[in-house]
Amino acid sequence: MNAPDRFELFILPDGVKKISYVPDPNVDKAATFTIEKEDHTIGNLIRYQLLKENQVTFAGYKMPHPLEHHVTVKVQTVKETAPETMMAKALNDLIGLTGHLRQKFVEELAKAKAASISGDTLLIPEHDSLHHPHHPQQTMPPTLSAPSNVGGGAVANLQQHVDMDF
Amino acid sequence: MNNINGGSFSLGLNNNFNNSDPFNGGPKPDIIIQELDSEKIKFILTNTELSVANALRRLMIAEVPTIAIDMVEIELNTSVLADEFIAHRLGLIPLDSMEAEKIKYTRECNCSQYCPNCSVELTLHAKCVQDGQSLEVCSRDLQSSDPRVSPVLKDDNDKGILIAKLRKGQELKVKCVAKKGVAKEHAKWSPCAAVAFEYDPHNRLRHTHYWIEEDEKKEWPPGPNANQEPPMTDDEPFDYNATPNKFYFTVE
Repeated sequence: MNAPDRFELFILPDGVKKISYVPDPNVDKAATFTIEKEDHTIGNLIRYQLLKENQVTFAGYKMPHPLEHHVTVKVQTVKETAPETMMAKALNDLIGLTGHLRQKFVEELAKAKAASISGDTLLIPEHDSLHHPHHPQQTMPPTLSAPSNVGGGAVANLQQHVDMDF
Repeated sequence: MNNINGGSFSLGLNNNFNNSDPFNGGPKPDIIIQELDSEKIKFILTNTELSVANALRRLMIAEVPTIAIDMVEIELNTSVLADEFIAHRLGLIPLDSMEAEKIKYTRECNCSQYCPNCSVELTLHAKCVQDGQSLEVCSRDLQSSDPRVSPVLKDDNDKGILIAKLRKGQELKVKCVAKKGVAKEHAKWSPCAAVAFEYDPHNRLRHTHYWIEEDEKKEWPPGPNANQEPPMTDDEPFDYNATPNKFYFTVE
């Protein structure tokens, strides 16, 4: 009844910053970043990336409360740099990393598909193909403009027991 | 940007890091696909960290958008099952989501409630007329308004997932609205059944502690990925600085 909406988990409300930071009042070159509407997926990823940097002396993250959908990342760096600089670098590196992984995966997928066509196992459908490989409509020509094809088998199947009064 | 009261943080496009090497000159992460079929993939992710592997796993489970029935209008239900029970069962039916990228999220669409740009309508109408034999209403009986999105079926003979059973005279007529969503909101939008990854099959890093009755080697035979890495020798020193960098994924 008064349950919070589940989309609060990942929809950033209007006017809220995705990421903000507060410098530590007591420690120099230390700051706490708050990332809204994210969880351990990104929190742990950023923490690891920050810890790879020699100039980062501390990096840790937490989800303060399971019902509050944000993570906080604490960062401390050496005095030659600043936490926000290292955070920006970590995020940029992660974007580079994910781009690289995506590209690698697409390449590998193409290779695996090619191999499986010459062999005899397999297959994930082409991304832009119209139908699931095991879908009954698979044998039909992939035309979008044929509404009569909709669920071809299903129509016949259903007519056995629909539209009949007793 | 660096004021003492804190403030906003932006990832500037013209900062100094755009050309930085995310891999610090080390080996670049790699993916090798080992097995691939229509419902399963096995791959090895190398030269990266545990956090990346885990983030990938969490993303596949919870943040890849798919299409699932989200609203059900029950026009007629004289079956023995309650309306909300049937609505829940309909929601869990896997729909072909290859085109999910081309469908908008309803919340991002301009329409007032839902429209063909952000939803797919599926209808179901079944009535049992046979004496002494119940009619099985299955996911194949759902008729989609969009040929790109329909219930996933194995082959032409597959009737799909059983939704309800009707006895003579019972009728079920529903209109379902399928929408795009992510599994963070509801698990029905999860694109995969199971995602598992393993690393360090020989427990070289001592990240796990085996329960042993008498003989470790007898009680813990090598796992399916054990042949990918050299087995431990008995006098191998423990490298406490080692980190996992080879992850064996299985996604169904």
